[in-house]
Amino acid sequence: MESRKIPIIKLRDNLLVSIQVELDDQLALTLQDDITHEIVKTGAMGLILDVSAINIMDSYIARVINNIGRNARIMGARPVVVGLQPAIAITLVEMGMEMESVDTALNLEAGLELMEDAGEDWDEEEDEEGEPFRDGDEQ
Amino acid sequence: MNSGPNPWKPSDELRHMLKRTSITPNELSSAVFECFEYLLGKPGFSQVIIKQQYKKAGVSLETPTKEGLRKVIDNLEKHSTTFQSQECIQLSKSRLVQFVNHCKEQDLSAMVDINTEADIVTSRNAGLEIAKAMGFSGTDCNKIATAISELARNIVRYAGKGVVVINEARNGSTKGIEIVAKDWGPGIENLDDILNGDYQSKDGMGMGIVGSKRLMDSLDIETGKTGTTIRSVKYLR
Repeated sequence: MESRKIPIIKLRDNLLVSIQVELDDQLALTLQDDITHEIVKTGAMGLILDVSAINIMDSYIARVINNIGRNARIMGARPVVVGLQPAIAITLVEMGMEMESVDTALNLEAGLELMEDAGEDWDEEEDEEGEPFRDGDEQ
Repeated sequence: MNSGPNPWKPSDELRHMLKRTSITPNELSSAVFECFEYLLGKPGFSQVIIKQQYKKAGVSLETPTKEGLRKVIDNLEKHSTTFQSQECIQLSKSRLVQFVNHCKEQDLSAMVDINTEADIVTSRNAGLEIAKAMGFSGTDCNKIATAISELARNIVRYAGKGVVVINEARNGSTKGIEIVAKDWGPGIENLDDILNGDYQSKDGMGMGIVGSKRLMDSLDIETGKTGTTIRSVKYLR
C-alpha cells in the first residue's frame, strides 16, 4: 500500500497543515505523529490546522484533532483550527463534542492574524510596562 | 370542444429545470401535472383525472418513478383526445418527452459492507448522497452522514465485520432516512451505561451510539451474543 502523507508547511514561526483529502483513521494517526515531530524539529510557535476541505467530522476525527492540539500545546506551539464548516460545527455541538484543546478561527487569514496578534500583544504589554506615565498622570 | 391549436408550453420554472443535466422523478411529475392540466382544461377537474391515472398506473404522488410516469403520460394522452386536437396533443407531448429524457432515477438506498476503515468513508458518503437527494438540509445531511460514520466505526472497531444499509423511511406522510447498522460481533455488554453516557472507552469517549442518537430522531438497538442491529431514523422536517 502506498503511504499517504499530508504535507506540513513551515510559514515563519508557524506550521501550516491543510487537510485536503478524506481523513481516514490511519491517515489521522499518521498526521498526529508527523505534526508532533515537526513541531519539535522546527521549534514552531504555532500550528494552523486548515479543515475547510473536511465535509464530515465524526467524534473520532474530532478527537484526533483535539489530541493534535494537546500534543502541540505540550510541545509549546499554539494550535488553531481554521475553516471549520458551519454544518460540522452544529453537528459536533449537537453530539456533545467540543474542540476544547484548540483555538479556532473562521479562516486561514483570521488564523494567521490570530497568531500575529498574539505576538503583538506580547510586544505591547512590554511597551506598557516600560512607559513611565499614564494618561491620567500627565494632567 | 377544441380550444384552439395552441400546444402546452412549459412554464419558466420548468424550462429553467431543463437546463440542468438531469431532473428527478418528482420534477418530472410536476411537468406531467403542468402539461395535462393545460391539455385537460379546468384545473380542479383535470387534477382529479391526473391523480386517477397515477393511481391506476400504481404511481405514488410523493415518490413517482420514471417508468410509472411514462405509463401515466400515455394514458393521459388518450384522455386528452376528447379535449384537444391531435396536433396540439402531439406537440405538447413532444415537449413533455424532453423532460422524460432528462429524468434520472435516483437510487435512494445503499448497502455497504463494513470490513475496513475505508468502508466507513464509503458508507457515510453514500448516506450523504442519499440524504441530499431526499431533500434534507445541508446541516441535516451532515448530521446523518456523521451518525453513519459513528455506527460504521463501531462495527469496524468492536465487531470487525458488518453491513450498513441505508433506505427511505416512511411514517404516514412523513418521509425520512433509515440507517440500519448490523454486525455479527459479540454484542454490546454494557448497553445501559453507554446509553446513559456513563461509559468511556479506553481510547475514546464512547460517543458513537449516544452521539448518533442525538443526531437522529430515533435509534433502537437489538443486541445479543450473536450480533447487534442498530436501526436509526431521521425524518424530513
